[in-house]
Amino acid sequence: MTNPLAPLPERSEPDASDSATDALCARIRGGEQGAFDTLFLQHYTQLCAFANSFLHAPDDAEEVVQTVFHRIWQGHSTWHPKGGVRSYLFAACRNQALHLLEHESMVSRSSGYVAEVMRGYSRATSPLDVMEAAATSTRLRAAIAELPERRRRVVVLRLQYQLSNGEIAQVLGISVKGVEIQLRRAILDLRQRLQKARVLGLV
Amino acid sequence: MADDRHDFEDADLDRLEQLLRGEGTPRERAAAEAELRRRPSGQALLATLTTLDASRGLLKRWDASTALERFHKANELRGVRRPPRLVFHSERAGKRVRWMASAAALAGAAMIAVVVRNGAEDAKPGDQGAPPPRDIVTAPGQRAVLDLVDGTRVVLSPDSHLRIAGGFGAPNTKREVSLEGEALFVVPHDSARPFVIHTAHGSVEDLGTEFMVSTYPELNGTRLAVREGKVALHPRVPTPPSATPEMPVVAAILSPGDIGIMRSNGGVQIAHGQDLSDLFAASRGALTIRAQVLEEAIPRLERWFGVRVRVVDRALQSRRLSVELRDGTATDAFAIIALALKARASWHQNQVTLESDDLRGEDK
Repeated sequence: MTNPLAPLPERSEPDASDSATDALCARIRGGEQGAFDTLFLQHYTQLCAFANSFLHAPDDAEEVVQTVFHRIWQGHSTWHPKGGVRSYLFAACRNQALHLLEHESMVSRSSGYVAEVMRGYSRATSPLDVMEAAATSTRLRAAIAELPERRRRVVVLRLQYQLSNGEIAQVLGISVKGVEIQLRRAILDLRQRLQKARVLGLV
Repeated sequence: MADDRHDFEDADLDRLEQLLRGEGTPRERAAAEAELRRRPSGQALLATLTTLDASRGLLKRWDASTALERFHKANELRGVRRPPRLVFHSERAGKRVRWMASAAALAGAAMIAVVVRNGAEDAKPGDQGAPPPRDIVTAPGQRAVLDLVDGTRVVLSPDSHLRIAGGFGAPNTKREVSLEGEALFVVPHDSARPFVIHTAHGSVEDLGTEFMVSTYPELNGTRLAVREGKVALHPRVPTPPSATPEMPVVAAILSPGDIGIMRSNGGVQIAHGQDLSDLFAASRGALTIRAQVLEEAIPRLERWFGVRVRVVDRALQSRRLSVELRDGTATDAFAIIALALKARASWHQNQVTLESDDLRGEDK
């Protein structure tokens, strides 16, 4: 087991896809709808899931993402996503979702979400959801859901959306150092919770 | 599918930590994932990671290809000035297009003027067979005025579809159209060329008149209101042996002031001597709602303004609404509606939420 207190390295090696993404952005700036469509198809579903994590309203989540892409398309000729495309998209969706939350005062709904995840079955709306509800009570999902809010977001952005430390920092509006601290603490938390569950026979 | 019964092994926890740390090159990470997939416990871990923020069902709901189509369609309508065109929409009335925050929709039912040719003029030498039909479709929040080649004027209401038969207006042929939704017809009489409107519940034959035909879903039938002249109703009836004496099959002739409804079972109901001013208001660009329960009025409001209406409390849903709305924006209109209902209207993109003032007072 590696030392959870060891510094977490930033991914210094450039991702092979960075240059391809830069080229895609250049084509979008040139007004190429096909390039915009590619961007849309690559990220849409993930962004809806991310927006939904704030709103807990699937239709509203779609509207948030549609709004973000609409703004990109409207201003495509001068679109230079700072910090990279993914962090731009996730940050924009987060900001739009939070704006919506502030406007509609839906905080009370957000705070009730963790409890609903744990219950699982009550939110099932389709056979697939029923099966998924059975899976949602795995220890990992429960352990992540129990993390403090900011730590949970950092973990999900890393594990589900595979963002880098820098991208996560930009999305959440915190420092890269802050991201590293949250990840270190999350590693400790999750190991303790998952190992404890096994020891106690919670299987 | 990943099985929840498999316990996590130490190797899985190490892998989880590695994923959190983001260590390794992309190739190394891909190899590590492949290793995880070889074990059921690893598969469970990976499956869980892809659905932390949303269930698999929700991820399927957010289909990117379908969403992209809607996105481009909404952007076509969003403040883009286009000349009127003949289109055929495969998505029919009743579906809510939630991103239609176009200037036209927000300004109430915008008018599009269309001149429709009879299609025969498009025929080239050597063409065989009847010309193809022409389709006029209005979205929620749109209306259209059509002048057909025979001099008929049609005012197509929001969320409606008019199909004009190929060769319409040719000599010695019936003038035939099909309608879903609602339209006002002002038809010059021509005994040699009857004007026929086909709907899902039967057909309406003009005998030289001005009348309004509506087939909106909440009517559960086709409604005809006659302002001038006479119109014949030909209900579509089920074929025997299910037909019974209770299901009339004869046509009905309607005169000015009559309202007739053809039901899907072939039945026809007629009321005489009616005040038709509210029904015909739509053709003049006005929406009139008279003492109608809000819950029942919502489909009309949504269609007219091209917005989605959400009502927070049941008590508000059962309140009666009386308004006449003409010109102005949807925002203005719902401010008036909210005032009339002692409620508050709030907007989010293309959706208006109505909440009773009484309820808001209790929440504070």
